[in-house]
Order: sequence, then structure tokens, then C-alpha cells
Amino acid sequence: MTEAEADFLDRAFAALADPTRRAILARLALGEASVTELAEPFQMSLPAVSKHLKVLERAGLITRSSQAQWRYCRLEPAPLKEVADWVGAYKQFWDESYERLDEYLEDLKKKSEQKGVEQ
Amino acid sequence: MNATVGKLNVETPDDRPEIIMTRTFHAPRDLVFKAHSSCEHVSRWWGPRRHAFASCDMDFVEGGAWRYVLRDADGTEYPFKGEFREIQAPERLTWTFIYDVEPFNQQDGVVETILFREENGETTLTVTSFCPSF
Repeated sequence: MTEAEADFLDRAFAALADPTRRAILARLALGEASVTELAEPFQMSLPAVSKHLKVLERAGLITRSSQAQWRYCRLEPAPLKEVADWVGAYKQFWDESYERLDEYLEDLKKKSEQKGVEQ
Repeated sequence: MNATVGKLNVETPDDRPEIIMTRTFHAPRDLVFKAHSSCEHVSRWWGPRRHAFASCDMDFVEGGAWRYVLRDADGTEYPFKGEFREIQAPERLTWTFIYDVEPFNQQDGVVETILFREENGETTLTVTSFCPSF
């Protein structure tokens, strides 16, 4: 992993750590939305929502277009996939390690049984 | 969020930067704990398949350091290090975990706590990884 990729993951995970921002992403997964539309379900002020959107934008998870006074937000799927891949690799590491531990424990059990017979 | 990969269950709570994994082994707790307690044992299972230990150092006492270097089939090496914070054989183990490559080794490591629980001859591990930098 390069430093840039690590920086990206740091920002992406920090952005995803907040439940409101995850809810915003979930909404954007359904399609583009304006800031006003995004603010509605959260009973938050527009500036508060804008702050969250800035964090998501800096993390590269969304983009914002400025068409006249309406700023439409849309989800960027590629970075989210990178986050999912990283989490997948982490799970894979432990899943494989523990499969190997299963096998190793069987070896250890057999060895201790043999020892028992010898004694 | 909750997901199962093979026999591994992985949970990521909404309200804190943690990953919680649970996994059950058909072996008594003493044995599962022992498999974590020395290079001789750890080097036989730790890491993905097709990776071998290039080196292993481990001072299995509270405050003791550990460092593992894995090598894949292409010869690429992956160093990991940390220290043992708490050792309560055979039920609890806390260590820090750092991928020993820049820039990852410039930050605090992940703190991992492993709980070993035995029931009916099976041992369930609960591994909680706390990521302070998230």
C-alpha cells in the first residue's frame, strides 16, 4: 500500500465513522440529491449538513456539482469499493489464519494424545 | 454491520472505531491459548496461506515486544510488530499491532484484546481491535 492509499483510507474511515454521514451515503446510493433534500430527514440545519458533506467530499466519497444555486451531491462508487476491498483483505487475513489454526490445533491434539499413550 | 467470512464472524459497531471478530475452535482453551504464546506455535498458523515466517521474535511477558516478518511466494516481506500489554493465561490477551512499514508505523498501533472462552470442549475467541486513529 502506498502512502497516498493509506491517507485515502484514513480519510475514508474517518468520514465513515459518523452515523449521519453513513446515512447520507445510503441516501445518495439511491441517486443524486440536493443539500436541502439531504438535510430533510435529519432535522439538521443546512450548514450542519454542509459540514458533513465537506468531510465526505474531502474523503473522495462524494462529488458536488454547482448548477446555479442548487448543489447536487452524488456518490462516488470507486473509493467505497477500495474501503470494502481493504476490509475484505483484513477479514481474509484472519479467516485464513484461523483456518490454519484449526489444522494446527488438530496436530497438537494428536500429539498430546500420542504422548498420553506413550506414558 | 455484521458479516461472516467462512467460520469467522466480523462485526463493526456503529458508535466506536472497533472491529470485533468471533471464531470457534474445536479444541480446549489451554491449547488455543498456548498456540498464541510462542514463535514455535504462532509461526505454524499466523498469516494467510502461501506466506511463511521469515523471522519471529516474541517476548511473551507483559510489556514484552513481538515482531513477525511474513514472506509471500514472490519474496515480498511484510513486517508486523507490537507489544504485549496484558497476559492472563488462558483467558485474556491484549497486544498492540502495527504494520511496521512507513507511514503505518508512525502512528499508534491497533490495540487488540483476545478473549478465550471455553464451553463443551470448544473455545470461542473474541478479538476486539480498537483503532484509535480512526
